Amino acid sequence: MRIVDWVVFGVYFTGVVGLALYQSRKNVGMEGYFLANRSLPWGVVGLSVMATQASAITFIGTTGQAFDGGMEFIQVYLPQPLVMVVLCVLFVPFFYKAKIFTAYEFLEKRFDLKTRTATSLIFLVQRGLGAGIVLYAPAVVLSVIMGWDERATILIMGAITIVYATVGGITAVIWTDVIQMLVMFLGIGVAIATLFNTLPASVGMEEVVYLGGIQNMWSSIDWSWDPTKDYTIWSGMIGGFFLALAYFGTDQSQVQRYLTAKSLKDSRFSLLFNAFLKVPMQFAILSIGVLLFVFYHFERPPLLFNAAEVAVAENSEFSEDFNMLQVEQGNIHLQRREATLALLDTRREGGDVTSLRNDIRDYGSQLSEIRMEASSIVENVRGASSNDVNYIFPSYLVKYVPAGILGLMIAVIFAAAMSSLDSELTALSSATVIDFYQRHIRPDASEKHLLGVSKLATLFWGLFGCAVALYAGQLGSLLEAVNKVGSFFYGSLLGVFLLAFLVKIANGNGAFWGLLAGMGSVFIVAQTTDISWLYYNVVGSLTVLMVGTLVSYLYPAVGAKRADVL
Amino acid sequence: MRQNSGDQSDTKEEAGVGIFSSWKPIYFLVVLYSILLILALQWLTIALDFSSR
Repeated sequence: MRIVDWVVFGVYFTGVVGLALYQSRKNVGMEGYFLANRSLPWGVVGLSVMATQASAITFIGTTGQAFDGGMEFIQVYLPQPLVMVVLCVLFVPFFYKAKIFTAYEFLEKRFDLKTRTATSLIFLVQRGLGAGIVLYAPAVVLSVIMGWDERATILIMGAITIVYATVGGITAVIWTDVIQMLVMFLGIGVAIATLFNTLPASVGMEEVVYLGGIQNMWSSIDWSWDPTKDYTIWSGMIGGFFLALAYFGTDQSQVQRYLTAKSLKDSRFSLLFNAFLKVPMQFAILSIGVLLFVFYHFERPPLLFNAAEVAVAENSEFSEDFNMLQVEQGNIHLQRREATLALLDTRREGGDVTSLRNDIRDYGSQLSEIRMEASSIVENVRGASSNDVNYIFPSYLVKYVPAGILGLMIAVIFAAAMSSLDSELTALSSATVIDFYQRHIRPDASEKHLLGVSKLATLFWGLFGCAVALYAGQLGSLLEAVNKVGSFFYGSLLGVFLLAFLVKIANGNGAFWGLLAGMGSVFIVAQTTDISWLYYNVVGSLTVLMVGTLVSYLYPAVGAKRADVL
Repeated sequence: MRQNSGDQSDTKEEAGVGIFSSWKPIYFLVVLYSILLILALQWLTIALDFSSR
């Protein structure tokens, strides 16, 4: 990075920390620390909801995904506007009127203590490890691309977030989220403009759209009924719907956000704000990937974008094979570049482009195959799966963007990571203190004592996240397993909340056994079928609803409360 | 008393939202927006498919 990049990066950090410390003065009492005294306007809450969902992997991973497979990932986000309506109608009024601190607190009011404790514990395990992944994923990419020390990157990102989240509580977190989300919006716009700027002068918007279009990169909707395909309109609208409803409706890191709104109306508006903005934002991020795809028709892409994996292959017994692939890739790239320029010229002159178009597609397929062969070499050497997708966009940034822009884009990656981490820390702290410490250990503790414990809990979870991130390299497959197991829980948690809202006869026994049955059913489906992981949440939710209703009917509880009378 | 005033403010919020008489037309707009998004993306999928043009 050049000096101007460091200046831009420094301005971002100073702005975030300064704002957090300024806002932390409003932080009085438990309601102030965890819910900003339920005083925030909808625009601020809405941006925080959006920033919490957008992690660093959103930027560096989904752009890479679009580079490899086009726009089809957008289908996962399509149900989000509808999800926001369901949240506004069903979830938010219950949460808001129940005057709760955590989503799981509502489940004790509606069902019983064991359901609250089980769901809160699932959240703590899942999100606690998730905090580590949020830190580790961008740090490992930045260490390879920028040559930064991975541990130092984790510790700097983690330490600054821990300080402002611990001192400032939710108010500082939400206001910094606002800044971080605005930095992300700016970054998306600048990235698109920069990509156009680094293309040859003769290639404009129309040529970019055309070159993407001849290789189906703009294809956004897939009507295939195949349930094993991850990204179709059905997996998106059905599986994505349940996934988003589970995330926004039952995950404390999101519920806590809209509980900070100054009124029920502001809570709803903050979600509807996301309903309108989320899909266009995701479309813009994915477009960056397609633009990169077109860009590398004119500039030679590396055989693998992850320089660490290239080094592994080059220093292995397969180095000769890898070098041969490099030479072959260079030759095919040159042929594709010439064919691309010829195609654009022929098209401008109104000539027949059929054979050139077919050539470009063939070269594209050959380049993909060569890249897959290179990945296989890395997998053979390392004995673990290759990960190149997350390096595509950062690799472009380091090599091609002008001074100042790189600093901004690195700030965007930091902003995305920190805005997710800070929300997770306050959510983990609130669940720890409200659902466990106050409920099970010190029910009679004073407000001052609880506030002190809350700050310690935020600090603890921050340090825990850093520790997980520091050892994530060694934990490798364990973290992957945690991620997979996480998808077993999400749908079932949603099922418990749906049971609470929709089934009047439901009781604590039904909810608890339904939760266990839901998680078990997802495990069985995952082990015995090939259906897309997006459907796991549907299976989990529906099983909880069915088993929970049946158990509640067979074993009615005395004194069970209905959600509408809470 | 506090509970009553909370209920009253909630009822008031249900009564009118800006230029809209209730939340229902706003939710309807969001549903319509969802449908338009799918249609727009389907149009993009077809219009920007230059694989045979």
